[in-house]
Parts: sequence; C-alpha cells; structure tokens
Amino acid sequence: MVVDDSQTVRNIMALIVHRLGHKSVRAASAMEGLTLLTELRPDLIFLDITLPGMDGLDVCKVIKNNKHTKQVPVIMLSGSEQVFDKVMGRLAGAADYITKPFEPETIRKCIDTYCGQTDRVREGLWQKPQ
Amino acid sequence: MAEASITGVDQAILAKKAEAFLQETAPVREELRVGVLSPMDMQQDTALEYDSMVLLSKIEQLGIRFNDKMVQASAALALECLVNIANQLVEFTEQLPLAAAKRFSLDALITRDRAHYTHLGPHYIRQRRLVMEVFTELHLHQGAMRDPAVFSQLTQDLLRVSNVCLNICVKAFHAPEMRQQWSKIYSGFLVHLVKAAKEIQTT
Repeated sequence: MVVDDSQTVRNIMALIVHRLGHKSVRAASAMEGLTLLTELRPDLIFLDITLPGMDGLDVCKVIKNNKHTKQVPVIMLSGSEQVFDKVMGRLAGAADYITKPFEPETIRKCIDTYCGQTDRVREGLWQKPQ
Repeated sequence: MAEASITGVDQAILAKKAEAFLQETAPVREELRVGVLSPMDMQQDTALEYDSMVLLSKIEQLGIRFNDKMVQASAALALECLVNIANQLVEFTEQLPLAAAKRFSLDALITRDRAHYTHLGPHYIRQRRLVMEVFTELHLHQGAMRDPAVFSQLTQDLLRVSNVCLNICVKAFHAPEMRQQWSKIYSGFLVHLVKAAKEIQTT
C-alpha cells in the first residue's frame, strides 16, 4: 500500500511495485489509507510523513496500535533527511525510512527485505545496462 | 531588451539548428510506431524507465516545493523552482539518444518556438541552461515579477519548456505501452505544476 498525497509519487511507487511483480493499492490521505486498511491487509505500507490532516507519524501509531494491522511493516517516506524525523518514525513503530527523492533500487531492497526476494526474472528488469 | 546581445549571425545559426531538429524529428516518430521491438529496444526502454523514475522523483520534490505556501509567497523562489525543474528536464532530455542524435539543445528548442514564448529567448541561457540571475536582472530588479501578468507569462514560458522536454522523454520510449504509461504519469506531474502556478497567480 502506498499512502502519499502526491499523485506523482503514488504513480511512481505503483509502477515500481508493479514492475517488481507485486500489486499495489494507493491512498491520497491518512483517512483514505486507514479506510482501506479496514478491508485490506497489505504486506507492506509505504507511508508519507507529510500528509494533509493527520500526518504519517500519527497514522503509523494507529496502525501499530491496532491488533489487525500491527504486524504490517511500515516504511516512512519523507522529503527530509533530518535525523529527528527518522527517530520519530522509529518511535511511531516504522520499520524503515526512505528519503525522497528515491531510486527504484531503494524501493526494491525494501520490498525484498519485508516481502521476500523479488522474482529473479523480474529482478533483471532493474539491472541497468552498462 | 537584452535580446540585442544576440547577434543576427547567432540567431541565424540557432534558427538553422532548430529547423534541422524539427525536420528530423517527424520521420523518427513514424519509424518508431512500426514493427516489433528488438531485445535492444526493450533493454533501452527498461533503462530509460528506471532513469525516468529517478528523474521524476527528483523533480517532484521541486514540484512539492513549488506548491509550498512559503515559496509561493515569493515570486523569485517560485520561479527558481520552475527554472530548476526545466533545467533538470533539459539535462535529462539532452542525454536521450533520440534527442542527442538530433542535436537537441535548449537554445534550439527556444529559438524554434520563439513565437510561443512571451519572454524566454536565447539571452536567458548560459552554458545550455536557463539562468536564474537573468530572470532576476530582467524582471526582479524592475519589480516586474510582482506584476501578476509578467509572472504568469514567465511561468507559462517555463512550463512550456518542461512540457516540450517531457514530450520528447515520452517519445524516447520504443514500446507504445511505455509511451502511453509515461505520457499519463508526466501529464499528471505537469497538471499539478500548472494548478500550483494558477494558485500563485490568483493569490
């Protein structure tokens, strides 16, 4: 699941996830993401810190305090490299932290870590020709 | 206007280059629509898609900055965002084999479509990139950037440069489905920028 208020980021993330052979659902706000979580149980959640209304850190806390969703790893996305944000993300229960802008390779490593290795055939897609 | 610094000879050379670029683009487009993709084409598309994702992730951050209320309060900061976006797109486009083969350059691009640009001209370019200092010299110092009409024209000009580059980026894909996909993604990005620009103009 990708929760980000930027349509462009959602589109890039969805395309990366798709190219790696996985399915994705997208949410543009905290409320939309939390609503989707009442029906879906994703393997991984990419969650933007800066969201309109409820921010990503609070959303992460809600996810981690819910018995149905607490096992789902949450990766925080942020446009800031500040250590404070990373620490806050960890305290909120996030498994990892990705700074925007990002490379598809970073997303793949995350998916590999939390959802198992990407299909080897598809993996070749991301090896840039020399 | 500072356009006087561009000599007639320079203009003629740039116009010739632009003309050549324009003439050579059309047949390539047709050629790409036809036929089955070779493994090399597919490999190039894959590499281009990876690079396009990296590029878009970068310029989206500038787009988010452009949409920031603090940035929008300053015409100079807002324009600087658009200049940076346009320059990153020009740099990326220059490296595409399709564009490199046609000797794409920002000078040629602007000269070719000069009639469509209210302000932008070759005098805004130094070392193949738009230079913010020129915008400052020509518009900020005169206070003209505070004029909504001038600001609107400048943003339109910069968005046009970005749009043309994004179109070339789409055409650089061999596979029609890739073109369709990236056309949609880039359009979404551009619409977001246009909306933000309109918000600034109305406030």
